[in-house]
Amino acid sequence: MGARGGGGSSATAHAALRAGLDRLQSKYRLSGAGYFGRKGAGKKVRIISSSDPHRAAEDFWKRLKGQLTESQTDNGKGLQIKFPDGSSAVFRPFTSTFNSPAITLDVATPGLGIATYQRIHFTK
Amino acid sequence: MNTHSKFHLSDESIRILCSFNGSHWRFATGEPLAEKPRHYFSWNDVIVATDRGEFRINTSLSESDFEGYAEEYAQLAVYPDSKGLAEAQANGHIYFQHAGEQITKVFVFRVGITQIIDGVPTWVYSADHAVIFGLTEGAVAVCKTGHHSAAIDLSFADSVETLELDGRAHEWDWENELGEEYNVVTELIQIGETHTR
Repeated sequence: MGARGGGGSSATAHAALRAGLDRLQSKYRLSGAGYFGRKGAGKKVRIISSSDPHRAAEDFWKRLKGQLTESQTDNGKGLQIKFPDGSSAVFRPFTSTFNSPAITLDVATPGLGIATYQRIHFTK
Repeated sequence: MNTHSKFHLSDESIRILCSFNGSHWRFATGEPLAEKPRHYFSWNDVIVATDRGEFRINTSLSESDFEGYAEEYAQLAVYPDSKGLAEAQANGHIYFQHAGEQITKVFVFRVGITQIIDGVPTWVYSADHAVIFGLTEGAVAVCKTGHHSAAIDLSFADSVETLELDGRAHEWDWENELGEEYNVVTELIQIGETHTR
């Protein structure tokens, strides 16, 4: 499986996700409930403010991705990472919110200190 | 009430599932998850083989904006084919646990969540989260890993009661504002039963 992403056959299937989260947490604060950024309009929506939202989103994505391979989403609207433990992340450079790229993070492995799902919007 | 969003199995999917009720389990496909014993994993499809043939349980993502913004939600479906089986066999990703046992009951695990603001329901989300097979001496669940992912978890247990099922309603129902609440209902809906002889 490895970096390609399939189901994890090793005893550390969530290691790639853990490494990505560690890289993120060196720059972005994670709340006690396991969410990045501040609360947004929806229950699972989070906001990270930046003078350059696109640059911030790309930085977030690169830290999360590490050496894993990204691919196009089925609908072609974004990029996705499939982690070996079944977790996934999607980067949508353009969303219905003007000038606000978004990254969704769906976590399959419990106990990593991160919420099972969050949608992070990057705004000015 | 603003919106009622349903992500239920289609009538055709339920018909296919029921048609395999009473058949004998052979195997299911998935990739191993060493950290979760008796659990396997697939990004989109789990193929189930019985003595009456094969069927494929699939998830896909569809967009809805009932929460106030466009979001993708996972939708379960069942198809009467075995697309991807050759690849799974070539990779050794087939599992024969409980082979030979009869499928005696088929269930759908349904999760319903109603958001209530100041006492008024604002939206209802209802989704079929897993398909469950009761076997003569065990049980199998084919379950979405989440509400927004096409990934599937395949798990085996000694009985339907001991299957590990998580509807992940906590993703909504946490740190609620004053006046905000969520009514969560989980149902195990039996869609087929065969009496063993």
